Amino acid sequence: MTERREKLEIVRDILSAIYEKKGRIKPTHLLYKSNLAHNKLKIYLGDLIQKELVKEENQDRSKMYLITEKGIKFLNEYKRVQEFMESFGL
Amino acid sequence: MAELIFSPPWFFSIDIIFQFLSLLIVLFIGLYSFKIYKLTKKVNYKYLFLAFISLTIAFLFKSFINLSLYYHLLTRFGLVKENVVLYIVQVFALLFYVLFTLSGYLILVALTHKITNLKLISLLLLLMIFGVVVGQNSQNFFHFLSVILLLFYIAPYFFNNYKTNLSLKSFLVFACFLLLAISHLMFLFEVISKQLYVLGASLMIISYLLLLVNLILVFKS
Repeated sequence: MTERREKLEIVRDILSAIYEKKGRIKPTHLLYKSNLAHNKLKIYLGDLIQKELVKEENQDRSKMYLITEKGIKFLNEYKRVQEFMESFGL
Repeated sequence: MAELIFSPPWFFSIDIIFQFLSLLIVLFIGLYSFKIYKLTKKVNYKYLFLAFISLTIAFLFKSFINLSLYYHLLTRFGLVKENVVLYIVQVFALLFYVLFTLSGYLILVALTHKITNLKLISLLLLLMIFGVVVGQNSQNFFHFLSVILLLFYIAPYFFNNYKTNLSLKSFLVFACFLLLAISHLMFLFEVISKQLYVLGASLMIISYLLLLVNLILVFKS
């Protein structure tokens, strides 16, 4: 059984999923990659858009989610934090 | 009066530079731990912050003592005129240095051994304070306790973490606490030779520099 992901890890997974798709992703791909229920993903995305970590764009009748500069910075900072935490193992 | 200077005169300024550098490093680690706590809300990092801030305060006292002992700052600026008062101020500063250092190590022990019982932690702290204040040779007791805490409780935890991760960064953290234990071991015998004080102080700065290298590697990644 997998452990329940913490909020911060979910945010990291969403941002990583967008970043790995060259910074833009379709909602269906994001749903699959983030491994979240549709309504949960919607809540998280709303939160990330409000915090300007993610941007929503409408292209040819389809929706796309883009990672912002602030989102990339957050992702890098999170990686640093994780490395520091691993070095202490606490 | 007990002897307060263990460093050879040629080492005075180097010693103060070492302590100032150590102070900055433990402060950086403490502040970064607090940033992690604010971001992740992981309570362990709040305690890591407290441990390193305790060590920062300890180094503040140590720097104050050494500036006062080596360069007679308090008497030079007319802040203290009587030798007895000066001695009491220095002894109290030394006592606070010892207590804050031991508190920092004790928090690390509680953190690495997942001791959450505050009553038990405060009992250990009280016993340590009692030993330092009442003991005949407070300095030796302090270094002896530090060796025990670092060598048998803190360093093994970080060695296990290194064995799990096998990363350079986790090795640096383990090596830091191992060297810190050896440095206290050198200080334990500083009365025999002033060179052992120099060796201890050098090992201590090397150990904190390893933590700084770890922090730099984290920031460079």
